[in-house]
Amino acid sequence: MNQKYLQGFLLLLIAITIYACASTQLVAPKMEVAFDVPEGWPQPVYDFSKNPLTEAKIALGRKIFYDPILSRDSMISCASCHLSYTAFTHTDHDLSHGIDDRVGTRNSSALTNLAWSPYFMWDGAINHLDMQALAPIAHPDEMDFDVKLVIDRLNRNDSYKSAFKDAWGDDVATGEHFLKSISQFILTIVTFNSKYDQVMREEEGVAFTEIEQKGYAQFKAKCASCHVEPLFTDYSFQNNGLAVDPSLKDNGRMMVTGNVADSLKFKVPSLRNIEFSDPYMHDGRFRRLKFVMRHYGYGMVEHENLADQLRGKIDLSADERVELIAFLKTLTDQEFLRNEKFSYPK
Amino acid sequence: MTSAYVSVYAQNGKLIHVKFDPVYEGSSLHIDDEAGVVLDSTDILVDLFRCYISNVELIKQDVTVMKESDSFHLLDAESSETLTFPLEIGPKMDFDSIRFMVGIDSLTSVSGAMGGDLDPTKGMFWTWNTGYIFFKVEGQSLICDTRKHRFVYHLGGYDGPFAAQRWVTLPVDTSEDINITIDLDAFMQQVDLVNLPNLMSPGEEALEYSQIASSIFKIAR
Repeated sequence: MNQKYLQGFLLLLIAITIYACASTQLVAPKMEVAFDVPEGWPQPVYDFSKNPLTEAKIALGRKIFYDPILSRDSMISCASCHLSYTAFTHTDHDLSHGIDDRVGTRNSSALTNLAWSPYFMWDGAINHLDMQALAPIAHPDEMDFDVKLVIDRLNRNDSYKSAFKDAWGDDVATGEHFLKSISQFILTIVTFNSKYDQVMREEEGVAFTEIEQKGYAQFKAKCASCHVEPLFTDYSFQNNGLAVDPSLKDNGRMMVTGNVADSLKFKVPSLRNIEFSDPYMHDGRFRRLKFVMRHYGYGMVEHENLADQLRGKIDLSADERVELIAFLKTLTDQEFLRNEKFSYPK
Repeated sequence: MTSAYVSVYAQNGKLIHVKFDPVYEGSSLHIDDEAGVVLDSTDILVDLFRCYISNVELIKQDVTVMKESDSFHLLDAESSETLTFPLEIGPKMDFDSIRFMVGIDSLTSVSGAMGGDLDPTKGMFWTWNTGYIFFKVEGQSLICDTRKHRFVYHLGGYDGPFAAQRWVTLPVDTSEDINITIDLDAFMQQVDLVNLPNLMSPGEEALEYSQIASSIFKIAR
């Protein structure tokens, strides 16, 4: 009797051990993943306590990001306009095109380091990363769909049922969980290992060339007041003297605030990976960095609310332009651009 | 999402119900898909009504005696279960008025994705310029020179000069269930169907119409 009892107890113990081992493996994707802030960087704006990262949620966000199921005709995914190999923007297109090859009015932004961004879009119309994806889903020139119908599609799809179950403990997709999953993946897209970063961290064997060093001095003297290191933006809205494109009539920030003082102001974009995020400006009007240099050198229109820093123009000699561009290319983060964690999920 | 539940009276309390009744042309508004035909030139059909009620409080002599936690309610005339919600009140708690916000406060409006009645799939969220739609009335009238003669009033705007949330305080006679009429006739009589049949963004007009919207909540007699 006693021995039988003991046997039973041992069996139970073994069962518990096996279960515990198995469930540790199951639980691992649900463990919280820490968000690493690169050394010397400010604290992120995103409140991770409201949406703690886990591997399963990041994986679900990545699956959604690459899935054309989000668009009306199931042809357009987030990645259609935000490619990992080109710093998550739409290279070679001045204005991004979406569904039925319709063309929008803005150049797609590079989706990097968004945990630090206090707002989204060129005009700051979106106040929180979680809400950003709603805009392209609903926009008639982008995905031309309705988030409610997206959720309905996900709830009819077995692979999403299990992915939502893994990530959120509930196989029914909701708007909240859908949006927070996308945020999770986007938040992991951090670029902080360019040559510039390595030089700043004084890593062994890495140094600016003479021409890059001169370019960095030019940058600090003439660009850094808006493109503040280390994120290379101060997140302000500025009028940078672009002539109005009569075919777009885009008033920028004024369309959000209704304030005339905000006319033609757009977000100061980060310059990280700028070598690969062409074309440039909110409407992608400049295909090459040298055109951007010419704009700031002698192409600006003296709008009434032109940014103070740009009054008097940024006059650079031909040599200085070459130096500045050489420095800007040190902001390219090759490891980031090729990071398998960000590419199409296999 | 809101401040913690005021639990002084919460032990062994009871439930009361707050019930909203959107009334149009003399009776409770019934949204019926079949009824979408306007023939008479003076007809004004209302076929959609939704609004957010939030931050509900009960008040006794200007002092808050009960504050609902996570107080966000999306009323939708199309589903009657959304028009009533319970409040837990403490024993012997009495109150002389109810106070609530029509709309969603600015802090909640900038706090990212949320669930329940605040889930952005509820059709009450602007996707192109972040923010909840606080109050939505749509319908049809031959007076409107628009596609299918439709009028669309989506009122919202959470921040700055165009913040359109409005507080409503209503006195009540007894500390029992609270029945609130939403007088949509009063709203429709004050809007400009000829010159402003479509209003779907924050601004001066949304402010003016939000003022009207907050004035149509009345205790049912």
